[in-house]
Amino acid sequence: MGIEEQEPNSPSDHILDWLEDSVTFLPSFFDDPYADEINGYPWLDQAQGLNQDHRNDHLIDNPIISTSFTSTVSHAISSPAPSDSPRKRKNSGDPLPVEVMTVRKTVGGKKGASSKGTTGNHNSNNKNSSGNGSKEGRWAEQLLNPCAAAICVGNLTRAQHLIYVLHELASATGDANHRLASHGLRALTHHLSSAAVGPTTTFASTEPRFFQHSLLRFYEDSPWFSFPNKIANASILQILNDESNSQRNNNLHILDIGVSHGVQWPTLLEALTRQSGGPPPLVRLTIIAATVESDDQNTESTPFSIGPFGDDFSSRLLRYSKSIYLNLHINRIDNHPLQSLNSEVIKTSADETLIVCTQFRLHQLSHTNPDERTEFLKVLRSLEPKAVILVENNMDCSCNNCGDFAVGFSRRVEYLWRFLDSASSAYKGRESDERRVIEGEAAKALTSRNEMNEGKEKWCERMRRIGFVGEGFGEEAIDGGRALLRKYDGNWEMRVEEGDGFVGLWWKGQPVSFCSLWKLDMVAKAVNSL
Amino acid sequence: MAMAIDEFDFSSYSTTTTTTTTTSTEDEYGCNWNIWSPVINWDALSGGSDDFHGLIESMMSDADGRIHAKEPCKSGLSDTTATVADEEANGQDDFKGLRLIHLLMAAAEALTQSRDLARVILVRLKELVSPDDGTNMERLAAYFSDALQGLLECTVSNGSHGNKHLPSNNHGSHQDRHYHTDVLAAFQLLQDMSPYVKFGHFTANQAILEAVTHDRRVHIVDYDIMEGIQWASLMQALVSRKDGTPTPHLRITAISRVGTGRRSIGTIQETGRRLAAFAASIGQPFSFHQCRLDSDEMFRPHAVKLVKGEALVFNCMLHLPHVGFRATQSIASFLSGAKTLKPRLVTLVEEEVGPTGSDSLFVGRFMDSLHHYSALYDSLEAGFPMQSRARALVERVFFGPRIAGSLAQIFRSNGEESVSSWGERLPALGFSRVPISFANHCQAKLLLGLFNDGYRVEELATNKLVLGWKSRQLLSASIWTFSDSDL
Repeated sequence: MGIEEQEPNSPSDHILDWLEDSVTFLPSFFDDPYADEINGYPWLDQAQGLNQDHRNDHLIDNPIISTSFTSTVSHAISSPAPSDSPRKRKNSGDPLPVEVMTVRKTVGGKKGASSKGTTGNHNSNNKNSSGNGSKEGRWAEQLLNPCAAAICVGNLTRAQHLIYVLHELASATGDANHRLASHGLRALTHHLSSAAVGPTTTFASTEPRFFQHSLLRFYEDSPWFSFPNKIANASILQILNDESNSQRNNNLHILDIGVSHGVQWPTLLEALTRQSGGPPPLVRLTIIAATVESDDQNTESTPFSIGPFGDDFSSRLLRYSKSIYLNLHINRIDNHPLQSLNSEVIKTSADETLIVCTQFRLHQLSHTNPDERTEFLKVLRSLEPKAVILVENNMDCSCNNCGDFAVGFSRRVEYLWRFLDSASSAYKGRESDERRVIEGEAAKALTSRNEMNEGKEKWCERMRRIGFVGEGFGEEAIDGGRALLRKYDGNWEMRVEEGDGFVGLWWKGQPVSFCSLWKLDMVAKAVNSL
Repeated sequence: MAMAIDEFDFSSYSTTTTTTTTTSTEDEYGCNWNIWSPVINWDALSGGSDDFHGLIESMMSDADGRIHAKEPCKSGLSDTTATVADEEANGQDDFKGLRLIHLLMAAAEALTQSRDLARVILVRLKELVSPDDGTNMERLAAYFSDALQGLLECTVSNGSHGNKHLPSNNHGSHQDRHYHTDVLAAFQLLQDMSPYVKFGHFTANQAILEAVTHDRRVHIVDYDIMEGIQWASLMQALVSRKDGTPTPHLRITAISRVGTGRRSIGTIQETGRRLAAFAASIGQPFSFHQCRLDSDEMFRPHAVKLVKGEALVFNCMLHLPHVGFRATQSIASFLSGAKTLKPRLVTLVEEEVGPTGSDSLFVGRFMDSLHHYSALYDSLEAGFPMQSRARALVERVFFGPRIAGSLAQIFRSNGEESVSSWGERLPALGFSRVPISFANHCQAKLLLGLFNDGYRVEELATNKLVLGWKSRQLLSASIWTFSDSDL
C-alpha cells in the first residue's frame, strides 16, 4: 500500500505510514492490567494487512502503535477514566492510537515502587542473574581480545591461530557468543586488511520499509532506544509544563541529534496535543542528519546513525502531525557535519523554547586533539537552549588516544556483547532478517572510526565545564521509564543516581547508557562571557 | 597478495603465497584465507597428509608465541605424483587438518582457563571429525577431542585437575570377551604393521642375551608382561645359542595389578601358562611367578623371591601397546625397587617426549603429544595405506585409550613435574649405562628394513637406541646396570 496513493487528509495515512509492514508484529505487551479494556474492541485481523475498511474501528488495535508509543503520554493524561477517552476519541474521528495509550496508563497503578533505586527486575526471562557482570558464559571475548592484543604487538602467528579458531566458531545465527565471534572476526579481518571484508547488512543497505519495520520492532522488543526516548520525551513535556504562563505560547523548537530516524517523535507530538492549554502554536523540529564521512559507510559510521537512502520520515511526521492538528515544521539538515554546526545553520529564534535532544551521536566527536566535543557543546550552549537532554553510551573510550588497538577493541567488543546479549533476549533467540540488520548496525561499533565513548562522569564533567548545570529527572519521567522497563526482560535495570538524579540503563548489572538533563548555568553565565 | 598488512614484517617467513594446491576459500566474510599463506608453507602440504606432523612441528613452536622463521618441511614428500584433482583434494584435507590443529590447540589452552570456551570448541570439533573415518588427522583429532572432553568433565566433577581420578578410557569393557578378542587382533596387527613392538622387545632381549651369556639361571622381573610375547622370542634365542653354552633356567616374575587397567590377574596367569607351554615345547627350562601389587600399585622389592646365583634383570616396557601412562609413582617404585635389588640389567623402553624446553605447560605438552601421535598414524598409513580398517582397529584399541591416558597424566601433572623421560632420571638413582652392542644396533636396522623406509634408528647415547619416524623420535630403548662401585 503506497503512501502516495493516500489523500493527504486521509486518517489512515499516518497510521499506515508507521505501520507499513507491521502486520507481522506480535504485540508483546499484553500483561497490562488494562488489557481488558483493549480486548473490548474489535481487533484488527492482522493477517489481512492494513485493510482500509476497518481503519476507523480498528486503528486502536494496531499493535505497532500501541507498543511503540507507550511512552510518555500516560503522565500527561490527567484524570479521564480509561473508558471515557476511547469513546470520546472514537466519536471525534481521531486516530485511535491515542486511546490505546490512554488505556495504557499503567503508571497510576504501579506507582508503588520507590522512586529511587533499581527496578525492573521482575519479569519473564530472568534467565541469568542480573547484577552479575562476570565473564561467565562469555567465550567469544576470550578469543577476540587476545587476538586483538596479538595483532597489536605484531604476534602474527598467535593472531592467525586465534583467527582460525574464531573462524570455526563464529556463526551469524548462533547465540550471542557465536554472533559476537562472527562480528568480531569480521572486524579484526577488516583491521588487518580492509579489502578483505565483504558487505554487511546495515541500515544503509536496506530498503526503507524494511528498515522502518526492523527499527520499530526493535523498539518494541528492547528498551535500548525506547527507554531513553521515553525519558527524553517525558522530560520535554515536563519542561513545557513547568514553564511560566508567559512562555506557554512560545513555539517549541526541538533540535534532534539522534538515531531514532523519527521514531521518537510521534508520541511526543501526540502528547503535546493533550497538554492543558493545547500544544504550542508551532513545533519546530530541526533534525541533524548524520553525515557519511568515508567511502565505507557500511562499517565505519556511527552505529544506527545512517538510515537507508529514501527513508523520508520527515514527510511521515508532517502527515502525522497534520492528522492530530499539530503545527509542525521540520528542518532537516543533511550533509552538515556536527563539527561545523552553528546557530546560523540551526536557525534558532528568540521567542521559542529550544530543547536540544542528543542521543548516541555526540560520542563520534573527538575529545582530544582537537577537542571537537567541547567545541560543539559550546556551540550548543551558545544557542541558549532551555534544556539539553544528553543520552550516551555509558562506556569507556575506544579511540587511539585512550589506549592502543587492543584496549580499544576490547571495549568495543564489550559494548557489542551487551548489545547482542540483550538482543538475544529481545528476539527470543530467534533469527530474523530484522535482527540481522539491527545487529549489523550495532556491530559497526567494532569498526567505526568514531567510537569515542566517555563514561557518564566524564560527560557530566564536560557539560559542567561548558556552563551547564545538571538537573534530576522529574517523577513523571522516572515513573514512566520504570513502567516501560517492566515490559522487557528482567535483566534490564533502571538506576537513578542519588547524586544527580540522572537515569542509567543497565543490562545484567553492566551499564549500557545514561540519560542526563541539563540547563543553562545562569550563575556561570553571569560571570563568564562565552 | 594484498599488502595492506604492511605493518607486519614478513621478512622472516618464506613467502610462498597462494598456491594452486589449496582451494581458496572465500567464506562468508569475503576473506580469502590465502592471505595467511606467508605463515603457513603450503608447499609442505602438497605431498599429502603424511607430512602433517611436520606442520604440527611448526605449530608447536608457534604455540609458544614466538614468531619463528619457518623452515621448509624437511620430511620426504610422498613419491606419488598426484593429479591436479588429487592435489585439490589434498589441499582440502590439509586445510581441514590445519583447522583441526588450531582447534585442538585452542581447546587444550582453554581447558586450563575457560571451560565455556573449551566446551564450545569441543562441540565444534565433534562436528568435524569422527574416529572411524576421514583422514589420519581427522581420526586423530577425534581421539584427542574425546580425551579433552574427558578431562573437561573431570575438571567439572572434581573441581580441580582431578588429581585422583583417571578418566575412564576403557568403557568398562575390559572384562568383555569381545574386547579381549579385539585386543589380540589389534596387537597382532600392530606388530605386523610397524616395528614398534618388536623394536623394544628385540633391543631389550639382545642386551639381556649379551649380559647373561655365562649364567645358568636368569630371573626377569617384568613390569608389564601383557601377552608375554617378548619372552617367547627370548626363549627361542636362549635355546638356539650357537656358542654351545647350556640353556639357562629362565624364571619370570610378572608384576600384576589388582583389577585396574586392562590386565586382570586371570590374564597374567594365562600368559604364564602359555609361556610355560611354549618353553616346554622348545626345551627351555622355565618357571613363572606373579608378584601382585597392592592397590596403591607401589612395587615393594621384598615381594620378589630371589634365588642365589641368578642373573637378575628388570624389564620395563612402557611403550605401546603397554600401558605406559600408569601412575608415575608406580613406575618410580619399580625403578627404585630395582635399585634396591641391584639387578644385572635394567631394560627400559619408553616413548620419547619431544623437547618442550622450559614450557612444561599443558598446551606445550599437548601439542607435543599431538605431534607424536600424528607421526605414529602417519607411519602406519605409510606402510599400509589401504588397510584403513585395520589401522582404525589399532587406533581404537590402543592409540585412543593411550591418548586419553597420557593426556590425563599430563593434565594432572600440569606444571608440577618437569618433563623428563624415565631414562633421564636413572643416572640420578645410581644406574649406569650399558653400551648398545654393534650387533644390537644392526639387528634394529634389519628390523626396520622390513618396514617402510620412513623409519630410522639412531644411537642417541651409548646405551640408547631411538626409533623414529621421519623427523620425530618415537621410542627409545635404553640399557642400564646398577654399578656397585660406590659400595
